[in-house]
Amino acid sequence: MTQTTNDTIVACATPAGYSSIGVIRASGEEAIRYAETIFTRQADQPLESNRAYFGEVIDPTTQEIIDKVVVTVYRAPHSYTGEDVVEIACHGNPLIIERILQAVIKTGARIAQRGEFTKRALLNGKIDLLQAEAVLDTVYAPCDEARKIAIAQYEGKLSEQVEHLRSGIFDLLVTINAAIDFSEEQDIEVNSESTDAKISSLIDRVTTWLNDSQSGIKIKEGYRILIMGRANVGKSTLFNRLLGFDRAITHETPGTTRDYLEDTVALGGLYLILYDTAGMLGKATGVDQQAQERTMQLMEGADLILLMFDGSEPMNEQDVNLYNITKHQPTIMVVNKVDLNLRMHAPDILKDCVKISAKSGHNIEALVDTIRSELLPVFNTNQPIITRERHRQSLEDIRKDLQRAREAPTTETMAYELRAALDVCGELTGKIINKEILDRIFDEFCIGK
Amino acid sequence: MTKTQCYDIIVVGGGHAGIEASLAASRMGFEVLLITLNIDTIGQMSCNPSIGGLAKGHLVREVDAIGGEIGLLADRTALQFRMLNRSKGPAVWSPRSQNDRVQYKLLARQILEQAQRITIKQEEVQELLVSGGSVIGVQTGIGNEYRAHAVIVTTGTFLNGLMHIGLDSMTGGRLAESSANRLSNSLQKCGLKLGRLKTGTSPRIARHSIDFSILDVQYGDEEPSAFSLRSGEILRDQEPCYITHTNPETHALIQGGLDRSPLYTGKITGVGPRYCPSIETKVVRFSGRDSHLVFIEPEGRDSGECYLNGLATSLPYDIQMAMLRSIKGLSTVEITRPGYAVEYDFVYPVQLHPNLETKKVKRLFCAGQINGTSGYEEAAAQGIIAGINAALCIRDEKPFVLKRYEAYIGVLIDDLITKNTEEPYRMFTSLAEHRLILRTDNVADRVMQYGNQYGLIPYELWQRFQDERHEIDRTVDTLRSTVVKPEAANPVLRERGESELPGERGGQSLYQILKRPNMHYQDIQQIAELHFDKRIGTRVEIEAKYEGYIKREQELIARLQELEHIMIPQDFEFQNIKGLSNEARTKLTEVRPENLDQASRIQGVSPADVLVLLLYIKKET
Repeated sequence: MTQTTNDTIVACATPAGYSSIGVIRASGEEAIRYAETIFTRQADQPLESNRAYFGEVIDPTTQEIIDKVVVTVYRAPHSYTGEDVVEIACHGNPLIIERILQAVIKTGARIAQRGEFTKRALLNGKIDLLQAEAVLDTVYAPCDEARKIAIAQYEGKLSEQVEHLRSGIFDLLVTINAAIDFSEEQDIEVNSESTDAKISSLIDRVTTWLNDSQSGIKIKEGYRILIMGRANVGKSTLFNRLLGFDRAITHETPGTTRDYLEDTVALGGLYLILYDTAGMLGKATGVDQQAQERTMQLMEGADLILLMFDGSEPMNEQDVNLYNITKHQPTIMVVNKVDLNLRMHAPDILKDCVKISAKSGHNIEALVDTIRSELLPVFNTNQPIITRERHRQSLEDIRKDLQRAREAPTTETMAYELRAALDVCGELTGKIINKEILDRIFDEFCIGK
Repeated sequence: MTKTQCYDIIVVGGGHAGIEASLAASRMGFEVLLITLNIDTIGQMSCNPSIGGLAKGHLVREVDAIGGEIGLLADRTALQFRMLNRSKGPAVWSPRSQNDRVQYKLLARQILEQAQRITIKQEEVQELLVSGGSVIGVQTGIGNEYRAHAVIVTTGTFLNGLMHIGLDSMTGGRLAESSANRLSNSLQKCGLKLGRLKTGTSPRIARHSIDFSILDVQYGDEEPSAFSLRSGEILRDQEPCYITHTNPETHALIQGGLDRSPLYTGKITGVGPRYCPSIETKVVRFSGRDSHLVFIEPEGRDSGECYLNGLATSLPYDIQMAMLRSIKGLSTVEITRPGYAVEYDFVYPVQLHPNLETKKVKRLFCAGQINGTSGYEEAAAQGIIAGINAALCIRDEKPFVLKRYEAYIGVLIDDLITKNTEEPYRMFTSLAEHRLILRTDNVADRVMQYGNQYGLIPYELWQRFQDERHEIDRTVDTLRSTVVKPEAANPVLRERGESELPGERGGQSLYQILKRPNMHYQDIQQIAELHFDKRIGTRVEIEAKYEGYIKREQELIARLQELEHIMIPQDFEFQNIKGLSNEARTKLTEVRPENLDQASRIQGVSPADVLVLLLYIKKET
């Protein structure tokens, strides 16, 4: 992030590749003038703010028409970056996009760096640091739940809450400082019991928030779901069914899957990382044994296990074994092949399971619903959910500082810890400059956002 | 016009800033001319007869360690010593003294008169002489012209001073003293922007008219703590103060007089200090409280007057009288001098460089209340800094600027030059973000090196300090390396209510044991039969207890220095930078910060602005 001047930057805001529409965005003092140079339309009045104009982009060197486009103009400060912004919607052909970009650059703009549009929005005070991160999270939200959280953060909900926490700590610090600085002139004394109680309630608030953040991070990073079962119960068929395409080879030969397979999918509003594992055999040796050891390792980090049974066959030793192994982990029991004759006799399992046919897709929706209700966290607060490790770490630090404050041996050391907590709040929202954090955040951005 | 006389440095004003400025500059080898409106009021304590107090005590000790006089003056004229905030941690302990008002000013004058290279004249400076953007001297009311290489203005509340008692007002900087009315114009002609502030003081009362028998007494500390490292042990008798309170009747009387209060009729336009309000302001603003504390303080050992701390007022005389007589112990009180308010011109301190030189006029320095501060200690602190810097600037040497993490003086001056004072500025410990390392016990560690560097402290004192520092380090090493067995430590730990050391596992170092909240250095001596004196013991104990915090502070400071080391070029054009907010552009142009750290503290400059600056500067250099 070496260049941040008010020169005019331009980049393609839509993904590379063919699409019906491509959008090129320019921001900066000269953005509108550049647009007017390359853009022609029938009525020749100046471009007004917040209006879309249909016309043509002309190559400034060759004077040929590059494409028919729609141009929208936003004037500072009422734009995403807080500067003059022009968006050119053209046909989504990479060749056209490249030609238009070149045309804008020829008139004087330069290509934007990674994250530069959002960085300008931040620098121009349009958004704070948490909102800048939310832009990224909104763009890359892998599922609907993650999108909801990101958009709330973009709206400033998280910033509001951090500010709320900050002001709680600040009020306390003011009282303590008053007791230190005016102890001889006024009868102000710090009531240590009420101070303790206030700090404790702040700690509780941060703690519930942190607990919720575990789920928040999962929503964004994805839940790990392990499909388990003995050989030939139809694990790979279910895997493919959930993914919506034939990712795994399925065959009636038991043990078709050896090395586990992994893929991601958004289902029921959640982002899932699915694992298809090797079928469990009674006594495995060699490669089979290794495959089963891997399954056991995966099991440890899994958020949910789909334990599959073959409904068309009686329970065997392996089924029972697996049932016992997975007993202490969040598990959904899935009885497959219910389109065939039911031969399984296990009333306990049958009562609590989801009966499906992976092959026909029967009852898969019910399974997805069960997965969702099993995973979707019940949040303890209506506080905005945290989905980033940076935020979680800051909250951890704040909690640590508050705990130290509660145990501080003297008034002024208590004030020191509270001040440290305040500083972390400031770093979280970007009120306190920490260049390292900013650099890292903007490095995540793609050009054109 | 008489013949022009030449000096090196002229100091205008003989208050607490002027005294320090004159002494520092003369001790650095320069010929100083001190011009005052009245030689008899050099070193006058205009308000409370006391020095130090919370955060102010820190300032006094810092000035002392750099080689200033205020600590010695206070110690030698003290009637009572108290270490404030004893119930809290040592970082916020602050020494305070009650002083003999008359003795203090006599001693101050004597020291100036006996100092080498100081000439004192009683005249009114009316005009600053400026040539080619630099000050070259002053002109006085009787037509004399004095030339110098630098001028330090320390005029306190005397610039266009206007006093109020009720609806009566009279010109003057202090009761029964004249004001300086022409100098304000001259400062404005120099291009400096002036504002108007207000402060007030309490009535003085006749000692014989107070019924002390029914009042609470407040004695000094049994073991007085001197301000100055040069004072040694204080052996003299101490005088008590007395405590009384206002009551609902007092408040009703005050309410009844508000229609003749210059504060509430709009007569006073200057802004007063929020933290040190007049009694009428306290009654109006905190209408829920039916009582306020009042301290009755001795004016001097032989004085027949007492001072009423907490009752600053500019109410009319009859109301002052009635409200005092409604207070317990004062039912037959006689006022010797009424309380009054004073309005005065001040120079907006953002117009100063960190060395207290004005940005408009080279070699013109301002220090003390003229910069919008309040208090003798704040004035003295600026005085010594201005004195040293005037000398350095003549020598063409690098300015002397203390950092915020080095001294309260650094916090004070940095606040003044980066934030425009809207009310009289008073030092508070909470303004110092590095409070835990800016203690009164480690003042020599923090700033004495500068006193030594500029030749302001006796060599003997410097030597003594270094010896003491070595002894502290040696003692710390001993305590760290001495591991004691549970059987030796546990009896003392038990006695102090600390958890005992476990039986089987070897023991613990004395240093670790000293870190525990209830353990004191005496306990360590008891456990290990070590001998070190009280001074060393106290300091080792504080350093042990704060060790963790000190480490964290040092890490923080290291991070701050990153911004501090990013210098903003002198000719940097803030106006041309688009990313800055309008307010930031204006403020940055006005203040012209020297580095990014300083820029980040300017009011109206947001973190986003700092980031913009950072990116620009990185790009340009």
